[in-house]
Amino acid sequence: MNILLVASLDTKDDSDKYRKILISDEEIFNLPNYYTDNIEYTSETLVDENEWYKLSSFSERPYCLNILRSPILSIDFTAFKQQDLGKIEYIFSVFGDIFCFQRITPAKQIKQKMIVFGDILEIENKQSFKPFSKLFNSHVLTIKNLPDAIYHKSNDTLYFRNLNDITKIFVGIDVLFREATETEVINFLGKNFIRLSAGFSSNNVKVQNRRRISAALEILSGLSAMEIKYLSNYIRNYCPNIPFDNGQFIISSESNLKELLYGIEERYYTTTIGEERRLANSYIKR
Amino acid sequence: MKVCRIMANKLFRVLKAFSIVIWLFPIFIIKQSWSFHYSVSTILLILGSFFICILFGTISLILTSYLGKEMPIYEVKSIENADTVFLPIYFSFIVLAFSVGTMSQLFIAGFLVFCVLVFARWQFFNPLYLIFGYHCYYVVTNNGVKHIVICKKELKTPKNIQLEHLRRINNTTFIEKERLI
Repeated sequence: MNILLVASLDTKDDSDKYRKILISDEEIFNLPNYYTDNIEYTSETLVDENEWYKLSSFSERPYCLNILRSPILSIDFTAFKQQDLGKIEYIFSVFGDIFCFQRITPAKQIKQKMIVFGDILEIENKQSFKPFSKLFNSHVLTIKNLPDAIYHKSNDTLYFRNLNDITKIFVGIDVLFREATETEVINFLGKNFIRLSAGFSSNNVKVQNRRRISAALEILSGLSAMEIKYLSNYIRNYCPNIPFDNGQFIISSESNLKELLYGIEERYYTTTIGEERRLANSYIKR
Repeated sequence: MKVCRIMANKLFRVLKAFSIVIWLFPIFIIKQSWSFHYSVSTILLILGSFFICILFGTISLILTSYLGKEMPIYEVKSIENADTVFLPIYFSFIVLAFSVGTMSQLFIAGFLVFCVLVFARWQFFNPLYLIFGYHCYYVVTNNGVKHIVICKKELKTPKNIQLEHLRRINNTTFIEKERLI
Protein backbone atom coordinates (compact mmCIF):
# COMPACT_ATOMS: atom_id res chain seq x y z
CA MET A 1 0.00 0.00 0.00
CA ASN A 2 1.50 3.30 -1.09
CA ILE A 3 -0.51 6.24 0.15
CA LEU A 4 0.80 9.60 -0.95
CA LEU A 5 0.26 12.56 1.36
CA VAL A 6 0.51 15.99 -0.22
CA ALA A 7 0.28 19.42 1.40
CA SER A 8 -1.00 22.49 -0.33
CA LEU A 9 0.73 25.64 0.80
CA ASP A 10 -0.66 29.13 1.02
CA THR A 11 1.41 30.67 -1.78
CA LYS A 12 0.75 33.27 -4.40
CA ASP A 13 2.22 31.06 -7.10
CA ASP A 14 -0.36 28.46 -8.02
CA SER A 15 2.00 26.29 -10.03
CA ASP A 16 4.24 25.47 -7.08
CA LYS A 17 1.93 25.14 -4.11
CA TYR A 18 1.96 21.39 -3.61
CA ARG A 19 4.51 19.56 -1.49
CA LYS A 20 4.98 15.84 -1.08
CA ILE A 21 4.94 15.08 2.64
CA LEU A 22 5.44 11.33 2.65
CA ILE A 23 4.46 7.99 1.27
CA SER A 24 2.88 5.83 3.90
CA ASP A 25 2.30 2.12 4.16
CA GLU A 26 -0.40 2.70 6.76
CA GLU A 27 -3.77 4.30 6.27
CA ILE A 28 -3.66 8.00 6.99
CA PHE A 29 -7.41 8.68 7.16
CA ASN A 30 -10.22 6.42 8.23
CA LEU A 31 -12.61 5.98 5.35
CA PRO A 32 -16.22 6.08 6.55
CA ASN A 33 -19.13 4.43 4.74
CA TYR A 34 -19.72 7.49 2.60
CA TYR A 35 -20.57 5.25 -0.31
CA THR A 36 -23.86 4.01 0.98
CA ASP A 37 -25.20 6.96 2.94
CA ASN A 38 -25.10 10.02 0.80
CA ILE A 39 -27.38 12.70 -0.56
CA GLU A 40 -26.84 15.06 -3.47
CA TYR A 41 -26.10 18.45 -1.96
CA THR A 42 -28.73 21.16 -1.80
CA SER A 43 -28.67 24.01 0.67
CA GLU A 44 -32.10 22.95 2.01
CA THR A 45 -30.98 19.47 3.06
CA LEU A 46 -29.29 18.61 6.33
CA VAL A 47 -27.43 15.35 6.65
CA ASP A 48 -27.75 12.93 9.55
CA GLU A 49 -24.89 11.81 11.78
CA ASN A 50 -23.43 9.26 9.38
CA GLU A 51 -24.58 10.69 6.11
CA TRP A 52 -22.46 12.52 3.56
CA TYR A 53 -23.31 15.05 0.91
CA LYS A 54 -22.16 14.34 -2.58
CA LEU A 55 -21.53 16.45 -5.66
CA SER A 56 -21.54 14.40 -8.84
CA SER A 57 -19.65 15.21 -12.05
CA PHE A 58 -17.37 17.27 -9.88
CA SER A 59 -14.54 17.74 -12.38
CA GLU A 60 -16.85 19.78 -14.64
CA ARG A 61 -17.52 22.32 -11.92
CA PRO A 62 -15.48 25.52 -11.91
CA TYR A 63 -14.28 25.12 -8.34
CA CYS A 64 -12.75 21.68 -8.94
CA LEU A 65 -8.99 21.70 -8.38
CA ASN A 66 -6.84 21.41 -11.48
CA ILE A 67 -4.76 18.78 -9.80
CA LEU A 68 -7.75 16.43 -9.77
CA ARG A 69 -7.95 16.66 -13.53
CA SER A 70 -4.33 15.64 -14.19
CA PRO A 71 -2.42 12.47 -13.28
CA ILE A 72 -0.87 12.46 -9.81
CA LEU A 73 2.83 11.59 -9.71
CA SER A 74 4.70 11.93 -6.46
CA ILE A 75 7.96 12.74 -8.24
CA ASP A 76 6.43 15.87 -9.73
CA PHE A 77 5.94 17.39 -6.28
CA THR A 78 8.68 19.24 -4.46
CA ALA A 79 9.58 17.65 -1.13
CA PHE A 80 8.07 19.19 2.01
CA LYS A 81 10.59 21.09 4.09
CA GLN A 82 10.42 21.91 7.78
CA GLN A 83 10.17 25.61 6.92
CA ASP A 84 6.92 24.93 5.09
CA LEU A 85 5.18 24.10 8.35
CA GLY A 86 2.79 26.90 9.24
CA LYS A 87 1.96 27.62 5.63
CA ILE A 88 -0.19 24.56 4.98
CA GLU A 89 -3.75 25.29 3.85
CA TYR A 90 -4.91 21.75 3.43
CA ILE A 91 -3.54 18.26 2.92
CA PHE A 92 -4.76 15.43 0.78
CA SER A 93 -3.93 11.78 0.51
CA VAL A 94 -3.98 9.86 -2.73
CA PHE A 95 -4.51 6.15 -2.94
CA GLY A 96 -5.56 4.76 -6.29
CA ASP A 97 -8.39 6.98 -7.42
CA ILE A 98 -9.48 8.04 -3.94
CA PHE A 99 -8.46 11.49 -2.72
CA CYS A 100 -9.05 12.43 0.93
CA PHE A 101 -8.93 16.13 1.74
CA GLN A 102 -8.50 17.74 5.11
CA ARG A 103 -8.32 21.40 6.01
CA ILE A 104 -5.30 22.29 8.18
CA THR A 105 -5.64 25.35 10.35
CA PRO A 106 -2.51 27.13 11.67
CA ALA A 107 -3.27 25.77 15.16
CA LYS A 108 -2.63 22.25 13.91
CA GLN A 109 0.86 23.10 12.70
CA ILE A 110 2.86 23.05 15.88
CA LYS A 111 6.36 24.38 16.31
CA GLN A 112 7.23 24.25 19.97
CA LYS A 113 8.94 22.35 22.74
CA MET A 114 7.31 19.05 23.46
CA ILE A 115 7.59 16.30 25.99
CA VAL A 116 6.95 12.90 24.60
CA PHE A 117 6.15 9.92 26.79
CA GLY A 118 6.75 6.27 26.18
CA ASP A 119 6.48 4.53 22.84
CA ILE A 120 6.12 6.55 19.72
CA LEU A 121 4.79 5.21 16.49
CA GLU A 122 5.84 7.37 13.64
CA ILE A 123 3.76 6.93 10.57
CA GLU A 124 6.80 7.13 8.36
CA ASN A 125 8.98 4.77 10.30
CA LYS A 126 7.42 1.88 12.15
CA GLN A 127 10.33 0.71 14.21
CA SER A 128 11.25 4.01 15.87
CA PHE A 129 10.80 3.25 19.52
CA LYS A 130 11.62 5.64 22.33
CA PRO A 131 11.83 4.02 25.72
CA PHE A 132 12.27 7.27 27.64
CA SER A 133 10.26 10.43 27.86
CA LYS A 134 12.02 13.16 26.02
CA LEU A 135 11.95 16.91 25.63
CA PHE A 136 12.69 18.24 22.22
CA ASN A 137 11.89 21.01 19.78
CA SER A 138 9.25 19.58 17.59
CA HIS A 139 7.60 20.34 14.31
CA VAL A 140 4.33 18.51 14.32
CA LEU A 141 1.29 18.41 12.12
CA THR A 142 -1.79 17.01 13.78
CA ILE A 143 -4.49 15.46 11.64
CA LYS A 144 -7.99 14.26 12.34
CA ASN A 145 -9.02 10.70 11.58
CA LEU A 146 -11.88 11.67 9.33
CA PRO A 147 -11.19 13.55 6.11
CA ASP A 148 -13.27 16.67 5.37
CA ALA A 149 -13.92 15.65 1.81
CA ILE A 150 -13.38 12.58 -0.32
CA TYR A 151 -13.08 12.68 -4.08
CA HIS A 152 -13.63 9.58 -6.14
CA LYS A 153 -12.02 9.89 -9.52
CA SER A 154 -13.66 6.82 -11.05
CA ASN A 155 -17.21 8.10 -10.58
CA ASP A 156 -16.17 11.77 -10.48
CA THR A 157 -17.95 12.51 -7.23
CA LEU A 158 -17.00 14.60 -4.24
CA TYR A 159 -18.29 13.51 -0.84
CA PHE A 160 -18.27 15.85 2.14
CA ARG A 161 -19.97 16.54 5.47
CA ASN A 162 -19.85 20.26 5.94
CA LEU A 163 -19.57 22.78 3.18
CA ASN A 164 -17.99 25.34 5.51
CA ASP A 165 -15.02 23.04 6.13
CA ILE A 166 -14.12 22.76 2.48
CA THR A 167 -14.63 26.31 1.22
CA LYS A 168 -10.93 26.98 1.80
CA ILE A 169 -9.96 23.87 -0.15
CA PHE A 170 -12.23 24.25 -3.16
CA VAL A 171 -12.20 27.99 -3.64
CA GLY A 172 -15.53 29.14 -5.02
CA ILE A 173 -17.56 26.17 -3.82
CA ASP A 174 -19.50 28.53 -1.56
CA VAL A 175 -21.60 29.54 -4.57
CA LEU A 176 -23.59 26.47 -3.55
CA PHE A 177 -24.97 28.38 -0.61
CA ARG A 178 -25.14 31.65 -2.36
CA GLU A 179 -26.04 34.58 -0.17
CA ALA A 180 -28.32 37.28 -1.43
CA THR A 181 -26.50 40.48 -2.33
CA GLU A 182 -27.34 43.75 -0.61
CA THR A 183 -29.55 44.88 -3.49
CA GLU A 184 -31.39 41.56 -3.48
CA VAL A 185 -32.02 41.88 0.25
CA ILE A 186 -33.35 45.41 -0.20
CA ASN A 187 -35.41 44.22 -3.13
CA PHE A 188 -36.89 41.42 -1.06
CA LEU A 189 -37.61 43.57 1.99
CA GLY A 190 -39.29 46.07 -0.28
CA LYS A 191 -41.89 43.55 -1.52
CA ASN A 192 -45.38 44.90 -1.01
CA PHE A 193 -46.43 42.20 1.46
CA ILE A 194 -43.59 43.13 3.82
CA ARG A 195 -43.36 46.15 6.06
CA LEU A 196 -40.29 46.78 8.19
CA SER A 197 -40.82 48.06 11.67
CA ALA A 198 -38.70 50.93 12.90
CA GLY A 199 -35.19 49.85 13.84
CA PHE A 200 -35.00 46.92 11.45
CA SER A 201 -33.36 47.33 8.07
CA SER A 202 -31.41 45.31 5.53
CA ASN A 203 -28.26 45.88 7.61
CA ASN A 204 -29.71 43.71 10.36
CA VAL A 205 -30.10 40.66 8.12
CA LYS A 206 -27.54 38.01 9.03
CA VAL A 207 -25.82 35.40 6.84
CA GLN A 208 -28.32 32.55 7.40
CA ASN A 209 -31.29 34.69 6.35
CA ARG A 210 -29.40 36.11 3.40
CA ARG A 211 -29.02 32.59 2.07
CA ARG A 212 -32.73 31.98 2.55
CA ILE A 213 -33.61 35.28 0.87
CA SER A 214 -31.66 34.19 -2.18
CA ALA A 215 -33.81 31.04 -2.38
CA ALA A 216 -37.04 32.89 -1.53
CA LEU A 217 -36.54 35.43 -4.31
CA GLU A 218 -36.25 32.58 -6.75
CA ILE A 219 -39.55 31.10 -5.53
CA LEU A 220 -41.35 34.46 -5.55
CA SER A 221 -40.29 35.23 -9.10
CA GLY A 222 -42.27 32.20 -10.26
CA LEU A 223 -45.51 33.07 -8.42
CA SER A 224 -48.51 35.03 -9.66
CA ALA A 225 -50.18 37.75 -7.56
CA MET A 226 -52.96 35.31 -6.71
CA GLU A 227 -50.52 32.69 -5.53
CA ILE A 228 -48.70 35.22 -3.36
CA LYS A 229 -52.04 36.03 -1.73
CA TYR A 230 -52.58 32.34 -1.00
CA LEU A 231 -49.05 32.15 0.31
CA SER A 232 -49.57 35.02 2.75
CA ASN A 233 -52.75 33.37 4.03
CA TYR A 234 -50.80 30.17 4.51
CA ILE A 235 -48.06 31.98 6.42
CA ARG A 236 -50.60 33.78 8.62
CA ASN A 237 -52.15 30.45 9.44
CA TYR A 238 -48.87 28.89 10.56
CA CYS A 239 -47.09 31.94 11.97
CA PRO A 240 -49.57 33.81 14.15
CA ASN A 241 -46.76 35.59 15.95
CA ILE A 242 -45.72 37.64 12.93
CA PRO A 243 -47.82 40.82 13.21
CA PHE A 244 -50.07 41.19 10.16
CA ASP A 245 -51.67 44.46 9.26
CA ASN A 246 -53.43 45.67 6.15
CA GLY A 247 -52.08 42.86 3.94
CA GLN A 248 -48.51 43.32 5.13
CA PHE A 249 -46.32 41.29 7.46
CA ILE A 250 -44.53 43.53 9.93
CA ILE A 251 -40.95 42.35 10.32
CA SER A 252 -39.20 43.54 13.44
CA SER A 253 -36.54 40.88 14.07
CA GLU A 254 -34.38 38.21 12.53
CA SER A 255 -36.58 35.43 13.89
CA ASN A 256 -39.69 37.04 12.35
CA LEU A 257 -37.92 37.19 9.04
CA LYS A 258 -36.81 33.57 9.35
CA GLU A 259 -40.35 32.37 9.96
CA LEU A 260 -41.58 34.35 6.99
CA LEU A 261 -38.85 32.91 4.76
CA TYR A 262 -39.67 29.38 5.92
CA GLY A 263 -43.26 30.18 4.96
CA ILE A 264 -42.26 31.29 1.47
CA GLU A 265 -40.42 27.99 1.06
CA GLU A 266 -43.64 26.28 2.30
CA ARG A 267 -41.85 24.43 5.00
CA TYR A 268 -44.86 24.38 7.31
CA TYR A 269 -47.17 21.42 7.03
CA THR A 270 -49.75 19.37 8.88
CA THR A 271 -49.34 15.63 9.08
CA THR A 272 -52.14 13.81 7.33
CA ILE A 273 -53.15 11.30 9.97
CA GLY A 274 -51.97 12.76 13.29
CA GLU A 275 -52.88 16.30 12.18
CA GLU A 276 -49.79 17.66 13.89
CA ARG A 277 -48.50 21.02 12.70
CA ARG A 278 -44.82 20.87 11.85
CA LEU A 279 -41.88 22.77 10.41
CA ALA A 280 -39.54 21.01 8.01
CA ASN A 281 -36.07 21.92 9.25
CA SER A 282 -34.56 20.24 6.20
CA TYR A 283 -36.15 18.69 3.15
CA ILE A 284 -35.42 16.56 0.12
CA LYS A 285 -37.45 16.92 -3.06
CA ARG A 286 -39.51 13.85 -3.90
CA MET B 1 14.23 10.39 15.09
CA LYS B 2 13.28 13.25 12.79
CA VAL B 3 16.42 15.14 13.74
CA CYS B 4 18.50 12.04 12.99
CA ARG B 5 16.83 11.78 9.62
CA ILE B 6 17.62 15.37 8.70
CA MET B 7 21.21 14.97 9.91
CA ALA B 8 21.52 11.76 7.92
CA ASN B 9 20.26 13.55 4.83
CA LYS B 10 22.92 16.26 5.15
CA LEU B 11 25.63 13.74 5.92
CA PHE B 12 24.55 11.73 2.93
CA ARG B 13 24.92 14.71 0.63
CA VAL B 14 28.44 15.33 1.91
CA LEU B 15 29.32 11.67 1.58
CA LYS B 16 28.09 11.52 -1.99
CA ALA B 17 30.14 14.57 -2.98
CA PHE B 18 33.15 13.16 -1.15
CA SER B 19 32.87 9.81 -2.90
CA ILE B 20 33.06 11.60 -6.24
CA VAL B 21 35.96 13.93 -5.36
CA ILE B 22 38.00 11.05 -3.94
CA TRP B 23 38.44 9.73 -7.51
CA LEU B 24 41.02 12.45 -8.04
CA PHE B 25 43.44 10.65 -5.74
CA PRO B 26 44.12 7.35 -7.52
CA ILE B 27 44.52 9.19 -10.82
CA PHE B 28 46.94 11.63 -9.19
CA ILE B 29 48.92 8.81 -7.62
CA ILE B 30 49.19 6.99 -10.96
CA LYS B 31 50.44 10.18 -12.60
CA GLN B 32 52.98 10.96 -9.88
CA SER B 33 54.48 7.50 -9.75
CA TRP B 34 54.39 6.96 -13.49
CA SER B 35 57.16 4.58 -14.61
CA PHE B 36 57.43 1.25 -16.36
CA HIS B 37 58.82 -0.41 -13.28
CA TYR B 38 56.31 -0.21 -10.51
CA SER B 39 57.41 -1.19 -7.06
CA VAL B 40 55.08 -3.39 -5.05
CA SER B 41 54.35 -0.59 -2.61
CA THR B 42 53.22 1.77 -5.42
CA ILE B 43 50.91 -0.86 -6.84
CA LEU B 44 49.48 -1.45 -3.37
CA LEU B 45 48.99 2.29 -2.93
CA ILE B 46 47.18 2.57 -6.25
CA LEU B 47 44.99 -0.46 -5.53
CA GLY B 48 44.34 0.80 -2.02
CA SER B 49 43.21 4.22 -3.23
CA PHE B 50 40.92 2.60 -5.80
CA PHE B 51 39.53 0.37 -3.10
CA ILE B 52 38.70 3.41 -0.94
CA CYS B 53 36.95 5.04 -3.90
CA ILE B 54 34.86 1.93 -4.51
CA LEU B 55 34.12 1.57 -0.79
CA PHE B 56 32.78 5.11 -0.43
CA GLY B 57 30.86 4.83 -3.70
CA THR B 58 29.25 1.60 -2.55
CA ILE B 59 28.30 3.04 0.83
CA SER B 60 26.68 6.05 -0.83
CA LEU B 61 24.81 3.73 -3.19
CA ILE B 62 23.56 1.56 -0.35
CA LEU B 63 22.42 4.61 1.57
CA THR B 64 20.31 5.82 -1.35
CA SER B 65 17.85 3.03 -0.65
CA TYR B 66 16.97 4.77 2.63
CA LEU B 67 15.89 7.96 0.94
CA GLY B 68 12.22 8.98 0.74
CA LYS B 69 9.97 6.63 -1.20
CA GLU B 70 8.01 7.67 -4.27
CA MET B 71 4.97 6.31 -6.03
CA PRO B 72 5.62 3.84 -8.87
CA ILE B 73 5.55 5.12 -12.45
CA TYR B 74 4.42 3.07 -15.41
CA GLU B 75 4.03 5.64 -18.14
CA VAL B 76 5.82 8.86 -19.03
CA LYS B 77 5.75 11.33 -21.88
CA SER B 78 9.33 10.96 -23.05
CA ILE B 79 12.66 9.39 -22.13
CA GLU B 80 16.13 10.49 -23.13
CA ASN B 81 19.43 8.90 -22.22
CA ALA B 82 21.56 11.35 -20.26
CA ASP B 83 24.78 9.35 -19.72
CA THR B 84 26.66 11.35 -22.34
CA VAL B 85 25.80 14.61 -20.58
CA PHE B 86 28.01 13.57 -17.68
CA LEU B 87 30.99 12.40 -19.79
CA PRO B 88 32.66 15.87 -20.06
CA ILE B 89 32.42 16.15 -16.28
CA TYR B 90 34.34 12.90 -15.79
CA PHE B 91 36.90 13.88 -18.39
CA SER B 92 37.45 17.21 -16.68
CA PHE B 93 38.08 15.25 -13.48
CA ILE B 94 40.84 13.26 -15.15
CA VAL B 95 42.34 16.38 -16.71
CA LEU B 96 42.25 18.12 -13.34
CA ALA B 97 44.02 15.23 -11.62
CA PHE B 98 46.72 15.22 -14.27
CA SER B 99 47.28 18.95 -14.28
CA VAL B 100 47.96 19.51 -10.59
CA GLY B 101 51.58 19.21 -9.61
CA THR B 102 51.76 18.65 -5.88
CA MET B 103 49.73 16.95 -3.19
CA SER B 104 48.78 20.30 -1.61
CA GLN B 105 47.49 21.57 -4.96
CA LEU B 106 45.47 18.40 -5.25
CA PHE B 107 43.91 18.97 -1.84
CA ILE B 108 42.99 22.55 -2.73
CA ALA B 109 41.55 21.50 -6.10
CA GLY B 110 39.72 18.60 -4.46
CA PHE B 111 38.26 20.84 -1.76
CA LEU B 112 37.04 23.39 -4.31
CA VAL B 113 35.41 20.69 -6.44
CA PHE B 114 33.86 19.26 -3.30
CA CYS B 115 32.38 22.64 -2.34
CA VAL B 116 31.01 23.18 -5.83
CA LEU B 117 29.42 19.74 -5.81
CA VAL B 118 27.78 20.25 -2.42
CA PHE B 119 26.46 23.72 -3.11
CA ALA B 120 25.39 23.04 -6.68
CA ARG B 121 23.67 19.90 -5.42
CA TRP B 122 25.21 17.98 -8.25
CA GLN B 123 26.38 14.99 -6.31
CA PHE B 124 24.11 12.27 -7.52
CA PHE B 125 25.98 10.53 -10.25
CA ASN B 126 29.15 8.81 -9.20
CA PRO B 127 31.39 7.31 -11.94
CA LEU B 128 31.16 4.09 -9.96
CA TYR B 129 27.44 3.83 -10.73
CA LEU B 130 28.34 3.39 -14.40
CA ILE B 131 30.52 0.44 -13.47
CA PHE B 132 27.67 -0.99 -11.40
CA GLY B 133 25.43 -0.76 -14.46
CA TYR B 134 23.37 2.31 -13.62
CA HIS B 135 22.29 4.73 -16.31
CA CYS B 136 20.99 8.25 -16.27
CA TYR B 137 17.81 9.28 -18.04
CA TYR B 138 15.93 12.49 -18.55
CA VAL B 139 12.31 11.59 -18.00
CA VAL B 140 9.41 13.92 -18.77
CA THR B 141 6.29 12.90 -16.86
CA ASN B 142 2.74 13.15 -18.17
CA ASN B 143 2.39 16.43 -16.29
CA GLY B 144 5.28 17.81 -18.33
CA VAL B 145 7.88 17.93 -15.55
CA LYS B 146 11.45 16.94 -16.41
CA HIS B 147 13.40 14.74 -14.00
CA ILE B 148 16.68 12.87 -13.92
CA VAL B 149 16.17 9.18 -13.16
CA ILE B 150 19.07 6.89 -12.34
CA CYS B 151 18.30 3.22 -12.80
CA LYS B 152 19.71 -0.10 -13.91
CA LYS B 153 16.89 -0.82 -16.32
CA GLU B 154 17.03 -0.05 -19.99
CA LEU B 155 14.35 2.61 -20.49
CA LYS B 156 13.17 2.88 -24.07
CA THR B 157 9.41 2.98 -24.59
CA PRO B 158 7.77 5.84 -22.71
CA LYS B 159 4.37 4.10 -22.70
CA ASN B 160 5.58 1.03 -20.91
CA ILE B 161 8.14 1.46 -18.18
CA GLN B 162 8.40 0.07 -14.70
CA LEU B 163 9.90 2.36 -12.11
CA GLU B 164 8.58 0.86 -8.92
CA HIS B 165 11.20 1.63 -6.29
CA LEU B 166 11.96 5.25 -6.94
CA ARG B 167 13.73 7.20 -4.22
CA ARG B 168 14.19 10.93 -4.03
CA ILE B 169 17.80 12.21 -4.09
CA ASN B 170 16.64 15.77 -4.56
CA ASN B 171 13.59 17.42 -6.06
CA THR B 172 14.66 16.74 -9.63
CA THR B 173 16.74 13.59 -9.25
CA PHE B 174 15.48 10.13 -8.43
CA ILE B 175 17.17 6.75 -8.21
CA GLU B 176 15.49 3.42 -8.71
CA LYS B 177 16.77 1.00 -6.14
CA GLU B 178 15.22 -1.65 -3.98
CA ARG B 179 15.99 -1.65 -0.29
CA LEU B 180 18.40 -4.45 0.51
CA ILE B 181 17.51 -4.99 4.14
